Parts: sequence; structure tokens; C-alpha cells
Amino acid sequence: MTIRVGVADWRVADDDSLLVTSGLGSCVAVAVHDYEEGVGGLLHAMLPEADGPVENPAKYVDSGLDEMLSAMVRLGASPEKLTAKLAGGSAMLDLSIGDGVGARNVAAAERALADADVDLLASETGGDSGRSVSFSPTSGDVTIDRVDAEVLVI
Amino acid sequence: MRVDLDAVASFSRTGDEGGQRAADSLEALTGIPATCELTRTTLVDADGLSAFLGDSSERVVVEFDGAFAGRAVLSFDDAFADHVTDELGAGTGALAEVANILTSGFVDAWAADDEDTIDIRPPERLGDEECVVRDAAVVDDSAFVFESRVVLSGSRGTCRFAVLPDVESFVGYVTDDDTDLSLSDLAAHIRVASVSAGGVESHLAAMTGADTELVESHVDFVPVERVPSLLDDAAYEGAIFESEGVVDSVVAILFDEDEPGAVAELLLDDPDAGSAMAESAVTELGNITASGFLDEWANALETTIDISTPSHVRDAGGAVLDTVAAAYGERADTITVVNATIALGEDVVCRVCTFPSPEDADRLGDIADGLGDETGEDS
Repeated sequence: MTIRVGVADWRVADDDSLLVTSGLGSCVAVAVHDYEEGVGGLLHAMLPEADGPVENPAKYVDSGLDEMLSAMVRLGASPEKLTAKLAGGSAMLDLSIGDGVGARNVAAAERALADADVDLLASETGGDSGRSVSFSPTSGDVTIDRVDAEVLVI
Repeated sequence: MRVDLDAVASFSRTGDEGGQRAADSLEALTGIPATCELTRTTLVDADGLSAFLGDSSERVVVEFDGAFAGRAVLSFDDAFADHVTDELGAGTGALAEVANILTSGFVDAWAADDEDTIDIRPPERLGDEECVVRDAAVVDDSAFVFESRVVLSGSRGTCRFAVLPDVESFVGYVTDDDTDLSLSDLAAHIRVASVSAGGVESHLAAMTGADTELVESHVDFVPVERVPSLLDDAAYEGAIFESEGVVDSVVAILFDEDEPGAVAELLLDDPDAGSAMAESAVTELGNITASGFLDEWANALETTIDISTPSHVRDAGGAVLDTVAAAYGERADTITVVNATIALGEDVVCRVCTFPSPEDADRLGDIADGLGDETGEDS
């Protein structure tokens, strides 16, 4: 089954579901996987770091990842066996506002994964185009779609 | 005229929470993962309201009364209706049960801090749409709609879920919340949307020579994380600008083409002109269109508004808006979006989304005043 992950949202699964999120511009998608237990989670975060407690932790990379990792552990994942893949963080528009939020999102994700001792296996980030991402908790594959481009699997 | 946008943000957030609760309730009932993909508080001209009520053959209306009063109109697409009916095994009664659960979930968010209760009446098939529209046209012929889209995973079935509050109840809710908000002042915002959309239509007609039709215009007040849902994931081509002056804003002028290159074809005599020329023509069309309505805003405020060099884009609509939303996301939780949809002939639809910066969004009321003066309307 395909499970949609919205913006500022995360979902976890331990079956053959496909976790899918679309419309990634400067947002990032963080796919975290426990291969042995077949548990996976996909976070679609919009901003780098929460400034204190927030209403929706999934809006931010750091608090969203914290929350999703806890849910994965509840589903049977082992914290020491987790690996991650990262996509998104583009800079498609030349805007004076936002202060390069795409690159900051990528840096925040790398930092948050390192803080949680999760190995980052692969990344497909930056550039100037949007992405749609699907993640299989069974295989660990992250499939990336763009407009007018070949599909990429990392 | 200034409007307290913090108050707008407050009820926009409550609406968003309601949409999420509705999706959670549906997931608990059916066991199927459900996502609330869009929740927005929309201000729409009463004539344009029916566009928010869906057009499926399976529509249900649920009235509610008490601490918060109004009605919810639910429009189920075929996939959603089939999936729910299969899952619940209750024949046509399944959709009524789902309508009840979704509405209960939504109104719970409004009753959460209130000792009063909200009574929900039994769901009924939507009969007379005009009657619903008439009851909802609340202030100065403008209506407020809380629109959510609840999506079932797997089938990709969608329920469009529009909550139309009764005006007295809505005013009461806002007043009880100790907010200084005049719905009449807020309703004036719709004038900015309709005048801007009219300007966009006439510029597009003059530039392209195509038969143009103003499909609809409205104003959304939407949590930043919901902004990308305002467009689908189809490929859009167009131009993005920033304006600077008394109202800083980001303007996205995006064309949804049935066939790639359809917009450039309207503009260029030579079909083999090349992609660089086509890109430049589309960007210039966006530039003139944006300048047209921003000049009207500037005139209304008796000042000038400068616009930046445009960025050309060809990308998924949601990804373009995601980038704008994230850029504003560290400055505000809720964003105001002035929308217009214009058809150019049969093959091209133009979507114009204008995002006033959160600090300047309350100047839309001043623009509405100025536009009213220009058109001879009362403000």
C-alpha cells in the first residue's frame, strides 16, 4: 500500500508499504531504515531547527527526526542499527527571503542524523529542481522523481 | 483599514487542527491510513462558493449547532467512496457514517476550549446546492470556507470537506476569543482578489490574443506547511517575482499546460523558435501580467511597487510553492495568499498566487479601500 506523507509530517511502516511524499522544493525528505527489522520512516520537514517546543515537531528537521525515530523504535527498530538517506533542499528560486533555507535544511538533517548516531548512506540534495520521493521500508530504496528528468534510485 | 491577522491565524490554525482531527478520526474508523493534505481558511465571493463544494455525485451535508454552528459539505470521489464502502461493509450508509465522523472530528477542535457542546445532525444527501450557498453567504456577499482534503492512502481516494460556518456563530467565536477582528473588514480583502484577477485576465487576453475566462478568485489564509497543497504536482511553467514597496510580496504566475510549450505557442509566431526564446516569452508574459495588477495595488495606495527580475520555472506546482512557503516559514505560521485562476483558450490554465509578506499582509485592507475608492464602491 502507498502511504502519503504530507508536508511537515512523518510516517513509519514495518510492512511492504511504500512511503511517498511529493512537492519537495527547499524542504527535505529524510528516510530512516532498520534493514534487519524491516522498519522504515519518512520525514518531510520544511525548516531546519525548532526554536524551543513547537506545536508540530514534524515541521522542523531536528524535532521531526526525534519524534520519528521514537516511533520507529516503538515499532521494533533498534537505534544502533539505523541508517538514513536524504533528498531535497533545492534552491529553485532566486528569492531574497529565506536565507538559503534549502541548504540549511540539508545541513540540519546531516547534523541531526549525526547527533542521533544514524549513518547517512546516500544523499541527493541541492540543485534547482523539485523532487518527489518514495521509500520502501522493505528494500531501503529511495526513488526520486523530477519533472523532465530520469528517475533516480539511491 | 487594518485587519488583525493574528486573529485570522488563530482561526486558520483551529481549522487546520480540525482537518487533522477529521483525518485521524477517519483512520481510526476505517483502519486505513488517512492524511489531511490541505486545510485552508478561504474567503470567497458568494458567486464562487460552489467551486469549493465539489462536484461528485456522492455529496453529503451535515449541519451542526451549539458553540459553533454551520454545515459541512462532503464530496467523495469514486475511489474514496468505493474504498470506504468496501472497508466498512455498510453499503451506502458507510458514507453517511464517514461524513459524521469527519464532521465530529473537525468540530471537536472548535469545542475543545469551550464548555458548550456542539450538536451534529444526521447526515443528508446534498439536494439544493443553491440553498447551501445562500445560507453561507455571510458578510458583504463574501463567504468563509474551511476547506480540507482528506486522502486515503492506497486508493488515493479523496474527500473534499468544506465547512461553512454560520456568520453569527463565527463572529461569536472570534469575539469570545478576545480578538479584535471585523469580518466586514476582512471580507473587503475579496475585492483585492477580484480586481487583481480582472486585471490579470485583461493583460493575458491582450498579450496572447487567446479567449480568456476568469475561472475564480479568492483569498486563502493558510498554515505555511499547507501552502504547497494549493497546487497539484503537475508540471507548471511560469515566472516568480518579488515585489518591494509598501507591500513586499512574492508573486507566482504559473501556467498549467495540457501540452508542453502551449503557452509559448500563443506568444511566438515561429513554432521552431527554440527553448530559450520560448522561456523568455513566458517569463515576459508573467512580467507584464504581474506588473499590471501590482500597479493597481500601488495606485490604490498612491505609491509605487517595484518588481524584481523574474525567475523562470518549470517544475511541479507543489515544489514551487513549497519553496515560497519555506522562505516565509521562519517568519510566520500562517500566510495570506491572493489567488486567481484564468483559462486561456482550451489548453492552458494560468494560476496566479500572490503571497504578501507576513509583515505587510494587513495592508491588503488598505489596498481594498483604495480600490473601492477607484471603482466608486463603498469601502
